[in-house]
Parts: sequence; C-alpha cells; structure tokens
Amino acid sequence: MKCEEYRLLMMDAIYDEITRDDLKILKNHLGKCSECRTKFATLKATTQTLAQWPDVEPGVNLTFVTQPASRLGELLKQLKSYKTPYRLGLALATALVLLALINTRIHIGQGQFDFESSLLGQKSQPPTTNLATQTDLDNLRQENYQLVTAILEEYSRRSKIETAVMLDAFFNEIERKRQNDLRLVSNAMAQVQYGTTRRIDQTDRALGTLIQYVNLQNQEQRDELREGN
Amino acid sequence: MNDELLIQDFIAGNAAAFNTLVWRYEKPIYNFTYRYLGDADQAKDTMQQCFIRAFKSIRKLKDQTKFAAWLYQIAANLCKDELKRQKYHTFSIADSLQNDNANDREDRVILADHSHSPGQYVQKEELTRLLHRALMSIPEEQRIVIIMKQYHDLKFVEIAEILKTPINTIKSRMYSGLEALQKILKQWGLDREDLGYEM
Repeated sequence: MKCEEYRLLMMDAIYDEITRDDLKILKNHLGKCSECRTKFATLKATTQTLAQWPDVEPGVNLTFVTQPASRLGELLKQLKSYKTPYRLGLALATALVLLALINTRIHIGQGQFDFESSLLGQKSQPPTTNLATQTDLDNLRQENYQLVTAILEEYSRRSKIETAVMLDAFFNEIERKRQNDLRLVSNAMAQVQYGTTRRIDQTDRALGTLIQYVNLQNQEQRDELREGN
Repeated sequence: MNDELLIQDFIAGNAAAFNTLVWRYEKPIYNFTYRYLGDADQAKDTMQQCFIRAFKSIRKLKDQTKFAAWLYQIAANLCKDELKRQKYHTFSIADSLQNDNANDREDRVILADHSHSPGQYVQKEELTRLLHRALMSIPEEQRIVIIMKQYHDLKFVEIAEILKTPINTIKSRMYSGLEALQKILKQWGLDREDLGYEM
C-alpha cells in the first residue's frame, strides 16, 4: 500500500472508528514511515485544537404551536381513519358525483333555468344558442318594442286620467263660484224688490192722505159757497 | 423518551412532543449552522427555518430512528442555500496560504509580541475567533464534514448518508480539511506547542 492509502485509516483511527485489524495495519505502517507518523500526529493535534472551540447556547427558545385543524383537514383525517373498503366506496361515490357534475349542462336564458346531467357525457348538440342568435335578437327587439309601447300607453292613459281629474276639479270650482254669484245676485234683487215695494206703499199712503186732504178742502169750499149763497 | 417515540407522539396529535425534539436539538443545530455560516444571526434564522421545515415534513420521514441525521441534512441544505444566496466568498486554501492578508499578519503580530509561548496568551475567545476564521477559509465541502465529525460526533457512515456521498470521499475530505486547517493554524502560530498539547 502507498502512503496515501493509509489516510482513510488515519481518519478512522483519530475518531475511534477503526477496526482492530485495520489498527494493526496502520500501526505497522506508522512504525516504518516517519512521514506518515508525523502527519498522523499533527492531524490528531489539529483535532485537539479544534476541540477547544466549545458549543454555545443559541439564546433563543423555539416553541411550536399548532393551530386548530381546518374543517377540510378534519374531514380528511376522519377519512384516513376509515377502513379501505369504506374509503374506496367514498372515493367511487365522489368520482361519480364529480363525473355527473362535469357532464352537467346548464342553460340560463329568457328567464328560464334549465340543466341536464348524465354520467357518460352529453351527446354533442348543435350550439343552438349560437345559431339562434338572430332569432333571439329579433325576439328581444319585439319584446323591447312591446314593452316600450306598453309603457307609452300606460303613460298616456295615466296622463289622460290626470287631465280629466284636473278638468273635473276645475269645472267643479267654476260651478261652485257661479252658484255663489247667483246666490249673491238673487239676494241683491230680493233686497231691491223689498225696498221698492216699501217705497211704493209709502207713496200710496202719502197720495191717499193728500187726496183725502184735497177732497176735504174741496168739501169745505163747497159748503162755504153754499152758505154764502 | 427517544426521538422515534416523540415523532410518533407528535404525528398522533401531541404538538408538545415536537417541542421536546426542538429543545433537544436546537443547541446542536444552532452550533452547526453557526460554525457553517459564521454569523450568529444567520445561524439563528437558519436554525429556525430548519425546525419549521422539519415540522412541516416530519410525516414524510421514512426512518424515524434517523431523525437527527435527517435534521442535519435539512440544516446543511439550508446553509448551502443561504451561502449561495449571499454569494458568500469562500477563498481557497491556496489563497489563504499565499495571499496572507493584513488581518492574518495582525494575528501573528499579536501572538509574536509576547516573549513567552504564545499559547499562554491566547484567550479562549481569541482562539475561538481564529478557529472560526480558519474553518471559514477551507472549502465548503471539507468544512461541513469537519463540523459534522468534529463537533457533532456523527459517524462517517452517517455523514456519507446525510451528504449522499461515498464514505471514502467523506474520509478523504476530512483528511484534506484537517491538513488544510493544520497548515493555516501553523501559519498563524497556533501549532500544538503553542497550545501546550501533548502528543
């Protein structure tokens, strides 16, 4: 063996991992080779120097705290506790549900909700939604037109009602005022008639008195004449 | 309670079992990362990451009896990543020996100033600092083997397993690393006579 080949044995010897046979071989070589003997001594001394570097305290205390497991985590943990046949059954059921979900077609349109589901997939159908686009647009336009028309009609109807109500109120007010005015005129005419009648009566009475006075004077004159005659 | 039982206890739902493992290994792992990286703060961060990674993936550990080796493997990988990230400059032994920088000279001057044997005046902290520098001066692949063997008492076969490297390559790296360190320490005046060792 060459000197280089004893290096590995030296490492085993320094760290007490050498077998009894290998130690005998190494000692035999070191007894003959002064260079290897010196090298072995210096390397051993180096390990003793390195050993002068003591361990130090890290100065920190790590403490791990576990958080409560998530609901999903708990379910998985529970699943793990099941026996294999149950697990396989659950896995199969899950797979079927997933397959059904994958093969589910959902259609939402024109205020309708529709869906189809199957395990083995849907037969390919023409993309009706794409082909019926023009028809749908026409329908939508028609719907929109009808809707706008209905709105306008309703608006017109409501406007008419409001106008009629307003005119009715106006006419009622006019009528109320006319009736009031007529009443006032009637009252005034009644008062005028009453005053006129009173004055006529007074005039009649005055004329009657005057006529009586005149007649009396005429009588006295006739009597005086007669006496004078 | 051994590591294996603690791991099983933790997997069964007892978080405190992992903390026992942490308290058992935080000092060795910290010293491993500290000697590897050469910086106390980085070493603490890396140690923390190491335990977090262990916490997350301990259920994947196939052989629970080899928890310590597995932990060192995580720590070693994290240290390598950290050094790559920082583009840490590890100069070669040749550089260290040939291009003796100003600090090296300063170290030697301090030791040479004393009329007595330098070893008598080398304080513990100073020795630690110099050993640290010497360790950081050798190639990374040799350094990690020396740290694992010298300071963590791992068997060569365990180191080989952790580093996924043939055992003879590990021993060869150990030999080369010690040889390089011996040359550096001798150059700095820290040979065995200075430290008063007996052969």
